[in-house]
Amino acid sequence: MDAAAATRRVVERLTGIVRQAPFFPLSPRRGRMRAVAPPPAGGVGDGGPLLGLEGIGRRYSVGPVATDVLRGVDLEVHPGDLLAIVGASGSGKSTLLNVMGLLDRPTSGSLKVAGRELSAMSDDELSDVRNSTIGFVFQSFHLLPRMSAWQNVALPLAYRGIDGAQARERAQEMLKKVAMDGMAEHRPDQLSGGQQQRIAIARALASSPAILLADEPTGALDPDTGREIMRVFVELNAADGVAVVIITHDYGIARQCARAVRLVEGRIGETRIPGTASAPGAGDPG
Amino acid sequence: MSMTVAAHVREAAGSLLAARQRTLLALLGIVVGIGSVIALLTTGAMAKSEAVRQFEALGTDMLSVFDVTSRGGGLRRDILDSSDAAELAALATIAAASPYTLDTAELALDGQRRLSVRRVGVTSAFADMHGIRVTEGRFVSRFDGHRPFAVVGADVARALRENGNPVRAGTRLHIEGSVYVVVGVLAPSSSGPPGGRLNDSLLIPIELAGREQATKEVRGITLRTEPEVHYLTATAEVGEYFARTAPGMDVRVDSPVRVIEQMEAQMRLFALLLGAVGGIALVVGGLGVMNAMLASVAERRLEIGIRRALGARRGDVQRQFLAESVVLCLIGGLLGAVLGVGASAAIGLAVGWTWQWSFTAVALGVGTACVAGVFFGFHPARQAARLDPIAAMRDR
Repeated sequence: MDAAAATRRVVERLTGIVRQAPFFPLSPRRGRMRAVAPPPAGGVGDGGPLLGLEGIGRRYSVGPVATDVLRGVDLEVHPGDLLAIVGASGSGKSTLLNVMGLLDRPTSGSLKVAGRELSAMSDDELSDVRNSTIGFVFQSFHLLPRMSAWQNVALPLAYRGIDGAQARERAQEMLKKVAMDGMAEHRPDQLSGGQQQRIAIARALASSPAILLADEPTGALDPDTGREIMRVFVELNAADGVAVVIITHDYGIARQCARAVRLVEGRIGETRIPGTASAPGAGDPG
Repeated sequence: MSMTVAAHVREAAGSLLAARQRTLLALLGIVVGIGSVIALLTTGAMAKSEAVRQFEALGTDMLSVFDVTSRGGGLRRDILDSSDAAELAALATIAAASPYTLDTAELALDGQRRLSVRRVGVTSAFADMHGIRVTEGRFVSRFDGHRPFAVVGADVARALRENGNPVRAGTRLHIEGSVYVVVGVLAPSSSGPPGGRLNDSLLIPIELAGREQATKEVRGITLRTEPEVHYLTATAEVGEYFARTAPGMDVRVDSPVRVIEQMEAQMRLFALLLGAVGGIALVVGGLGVMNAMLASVAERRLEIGIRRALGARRGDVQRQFLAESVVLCLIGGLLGAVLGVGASAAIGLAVGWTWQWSFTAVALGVGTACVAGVFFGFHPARQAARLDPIAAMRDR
C-alpha cells in the first residue's frame, strides 16, 4: 500500500469521527481542520488542475420536459489561472458557475476538486470545500446588510471556528488587500457599489481559497468602477497566485484575462475570442 | 467544523435586534405564559405557607373534637359535655383535654354603650393547652365552680380602659344583668380554639357558662396527644370512645396536621392545573415564536444562500436559527420571571402575606422557556437548513 492511499484512509476515518461530533463541538477549529481532506496525490501539489470538468452535463426536468443547460463541458482550472468564461444570457453561464462552485451537482460527467471526485462527497464536505477552496464574488455583492465590513469579511472564518480577535485581525488584513482597511466599521449601505464589491472580494479571500469564482463582478458597476474591480482581480492573481474565474458576457472583461473560453448553448465553443491571449479550448492548460 | 456557541448567540442577538417589532410580539406570548405560571405558583406557595403558619400556631399535637350530629328534629339523648373531656383525657393517646363553650354577650362599657364580646367557658386546662398568659391576676382555676369570675381578653381590656374603666383584678363587669368580677387580664394572643379569638373574649369558668346557657353541652373539646403519638392513632381512639359511649352522635375530629395535609394535596392539584394552564399559554407563546421564526427564515433566504456559499453546513444554518429561537424564548422566560415574581410580590403586599420568591418556580419557568425555544424553533431551523442555496439566492 502506498503512502497516499494510507493517508486517504486515515483522513476518511477522521472525517467520519468528526461528523459524529457532538452538537456543539468543544474545539471546533481542530475539528474543522480534520474535516477538510488535504489534496491527495495528483492534486494541487503536483500541478494538476484545481477544478477538472469532464463531460459535465446539467439537465433540468420540469414534468415531462427536460432541458439540457450544460451539454458536456470540458474545462480545467489550474493554480494561477486568470480565466474568463464568456457567454450570452441563456448560454448556461450561471449554471456552470454553480456547478464549479459546488452549489449544484451536475447530472452527468465528472467534476474533480483538487483531484477529489465531487460525486463522492457529502453535502457537509461540499460546504467545507466551498469554505476552504472557493471564494465567491457575486454580481450584486451579497453582503449581509446588518454586519459591518469587517464582520462580513470574517463570516467565512466563523464556519471554520475562527472567532474573536483572530478573525478580526484576519479580516483587517484582507481589507487591506483590497484597499478598504479604513472602512472596516462601515455597513454595506454606507458604501458605494465599488466599495461593496471590494469588501465582497476581501470576504472571498478570507479563508485563503485556491480559486475565486466571480459571477459578472462588474455587472452592477459603472464602467470606471468596473475597471477598478478588474484591476483588483488581476493584481490578486499576479501577486498571490490565486486562480480567478470570471463569468461575464462582456468581451472587454474577457480581454483583460490571460485565458478566455466561450460558452455556447451549454458547450465550450471553439470560437476564438478577439484580442485574447490564447485560443479557447477544452482542457486548455492556459 | 462549525461556529462556536458564542458566535451563534451573538448572531442570534444581532438578528433579533434587527427585527425588533417581530421579536417583541413573539416575546409577548412567552412572557405572559411564563409570567402567569410563575406568579400563580409563587402565590400558591405563599398562600400555603401562610395557612400552615396559622395552623402550626395552634400546635401540631392538637385535636379538635366537635359534635356535628344533624340537628333536624327528634330528641337528642347524647350531648358533648365536660364529662366527655374528663374521660377523653384518660385515654392512652391523649395527654390533656380542654372543653369549651362559646357564645356572645353584651358587655356594658358605661351607662349606654355596650361592647359585643365572645364569652368562652373554659377549664383551667385551657391556658396550658393554648399557651396563653395573663398579664395581671390569674387564670380560671378548677376551684372557681359557678362563681362569677372572668378573665378579660387584651382587646376587651383596652376597650374598657379607653372608656375610662381601667381593668384590674376585682373590677366588676356588667353583662346582661349579671355582674362578673375580673380575676385576670390576658396577654395579647393569636392562639385559641377554632372560632375563638381570645383578644376580644371574656373567659369564664365552664360551670358558670353552663348555667348561663342553661345547658351542659360544650362547643368543642380541644385535646393534646401524648408525645410521639400519630394524630391518626389518637383520632381512631377518640372515635372508638364516642362509638362506645354515644353511638347516636356524629363526632368530627380535626387535626392541624390533617388540615395541612389536605392543603398540601390541594396544592398539588392546584399546581397540576396551573401546569396545564401554563402549558397551554406556553404552546400559544411557542406557536408565536415558531411563526416569527418562519417569517425570519422566509425573509432571510438570500442570507441563508450566501452563508451556504461561504461554507456554512446545513447544521450551521440549523444551529443558527435554533440559537435564535432559544435566545428569544430565554429572554421571554427571564422577562416572564420578572413579571411573575413582581406580580406575586404585589399580590402578597395587597393581601398582607409574607412575600417569598420560589426558586423552583422561576427555574421551572425559565427552563420551560428554553425547552420551548428548541421545540418550536426546530421546524423553522430545519426548513432553513434544507433550503437549496441556489434557489435561496435566486429568489430575490
